[in-house]
Amino acid sequence: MEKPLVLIIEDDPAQNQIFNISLRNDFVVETFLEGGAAAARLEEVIPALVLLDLNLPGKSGRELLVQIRGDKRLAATRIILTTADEQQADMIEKDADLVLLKPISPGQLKELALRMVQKLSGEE
Amino acid sequence: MVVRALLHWPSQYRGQMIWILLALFAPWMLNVVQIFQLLPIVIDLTPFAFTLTGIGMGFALFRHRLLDLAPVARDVIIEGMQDGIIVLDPSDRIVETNQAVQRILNMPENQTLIGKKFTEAFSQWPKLVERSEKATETEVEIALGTGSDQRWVGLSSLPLQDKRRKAVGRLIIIRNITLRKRAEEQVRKLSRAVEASPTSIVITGVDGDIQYVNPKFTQVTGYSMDEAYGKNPNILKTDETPVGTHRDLWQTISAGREWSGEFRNRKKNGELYWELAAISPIQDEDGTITHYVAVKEDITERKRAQDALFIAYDQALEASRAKSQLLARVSHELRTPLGGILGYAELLKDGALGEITEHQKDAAKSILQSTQHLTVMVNELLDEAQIQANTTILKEKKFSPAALLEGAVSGLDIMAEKKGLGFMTYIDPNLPEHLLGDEQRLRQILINLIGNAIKFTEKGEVWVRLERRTSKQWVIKVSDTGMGIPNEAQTSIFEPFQQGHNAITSENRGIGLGLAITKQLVELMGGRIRLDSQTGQGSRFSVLLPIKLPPQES
Repeated sequence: MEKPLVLIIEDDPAQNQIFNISLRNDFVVETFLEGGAAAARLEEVIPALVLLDLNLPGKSGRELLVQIRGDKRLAATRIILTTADEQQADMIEKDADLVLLKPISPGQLKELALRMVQKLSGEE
Repeated sequence: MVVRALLHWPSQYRGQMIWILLALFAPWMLNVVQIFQLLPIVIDLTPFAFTLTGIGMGFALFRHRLLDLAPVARDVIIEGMQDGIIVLDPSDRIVETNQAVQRILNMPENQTLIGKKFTEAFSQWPKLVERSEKATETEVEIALGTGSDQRWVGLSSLPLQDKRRKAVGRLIIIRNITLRKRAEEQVRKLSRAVEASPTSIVITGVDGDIQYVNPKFTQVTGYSMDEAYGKNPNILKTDETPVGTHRDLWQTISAGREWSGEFRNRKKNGELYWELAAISPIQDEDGTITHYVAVKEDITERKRAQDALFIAYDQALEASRAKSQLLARVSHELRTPLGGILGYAELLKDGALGEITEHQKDAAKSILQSTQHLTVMVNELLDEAQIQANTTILKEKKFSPAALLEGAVSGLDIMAEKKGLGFMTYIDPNLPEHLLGDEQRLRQILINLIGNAIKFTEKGEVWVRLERRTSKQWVIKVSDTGMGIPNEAQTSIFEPFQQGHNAITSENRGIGLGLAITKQLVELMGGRIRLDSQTGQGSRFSVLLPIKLPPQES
């Protein structure tokens, strides 16, 4: 079975690496350190999951969120938002499928990510 | 007497009278002639006489208009007049009056005044008598009576002369001027009010020319009535008045509507001030605008206070915003490295970064534990900072108390079991199925209380109850059979950085912010937290909260 595609958009290199290692066993992983490249890529592929950091330089996380949600092609794409700001997390829950407050446990992340895409393939 | 009257009456009456007399006397005279045989006529002259009567009357009728309307009309006029007429002869005896006299003076109608002397007829009004003696053509005003019965009477006196310019008496005219006097008093009252008004009042004509300003206006602007008269209120105008104000004003009031607004005006001495003005058009009965009246108030001080308030508000908002921004930055700076440590430690431990020895695994676990602890502390600190900065926003979403309880105890019940403690939960069936509130923060509160209960209890059990207290309140009760909290510590325990137990053991390690945050959150939600405890007898924490129901689902 082909592994689902996940786009990891996170500007902190360490965190980016950690997410990568956490998910690479179960997903096809593409990582981005800033929003512009990610936005371009999103017009080419349809990922099953996007892991999006809200505090991005350049094209902000919120803008990307709007872009994804406004794109009909990506209607089935799941979105997990990550943030280091509790209040930010509270405010935009409705556009994302899940909001995780940093620091995030890799194990937990893998479990949540798998659960989300399993729903996609109708296995629940 | 008749002869005397003949001599005095106007020609018209004289003519009438002469013919009437002739007509009447004709038969009588001819009879005399007949009886005394003055003329050599032997036939009966009576019919002849009556013919003369007829001719005489006819003459009187047509030539002198005996039964004509004019004299009748004159009478009607005099009797019907509103003003009272009293004709006096040279010895001040009343010769003629009309009904109005009795009416105005409230005298009985049947009482006849003619023939009496003036002073006698009107003796009940000494003032009237007194003023009448010196009265002239200029009307004098006399107040009769007092209080609610008071009437005002205007009295003037005209001399009467005959054809030869000889004084033959006086004509006294009295008028009821009570209404006029009352109206005058009313006007005077209004006028005094305007003069004494604490606000500036300006009255202009239709073209905006100033016709009146009250003393307050002069006091505020420095322009006296003379200086302001005839000028346009534009003399006060400056460019600092908000654009369009003057145009808007003019359009509104010339359309017949009231207008109010603010002006930045200049006093005579050049000083600038702010003015709040209300301007209305004054209309006559046809609705035509005849004047404008403006009521103005100097609001310079008030505006200054307002401005200061706005500045203070803006500054407070800025400060608050700055605080929020700082908190967000601090939060980010703390959480990001924590993410790095936690992430790698866990990956190490789970072998995702390569095979590791058991020894290395233990080391990784240790790092993980410390990091987790550090994370808890960072969370608490940031929470406290947020509450301190008043930037906490409580959510109001629908949640189920049952789900709340379940979410809070999962994990904690295992912890209790590991410690050998009994762990019981209870939900009151009277509690509504759904409530409105911040589920996440309620869970935080529950976890804090339950965690503490387990931490400070060595044996026995921990109870968690969610109950309905009254129709408007519900309560979260967490009780334990632990070491209890001494009375002296029961208030300070809710303060930051206090602990009931002073020993810093690995179990009690923590910065002690949990209860402080819990209390603040509870109070933010509009509730209260209570503690019942005795040393050695366990503790019970009760959180009372108002019941907020979600909008009814149809």
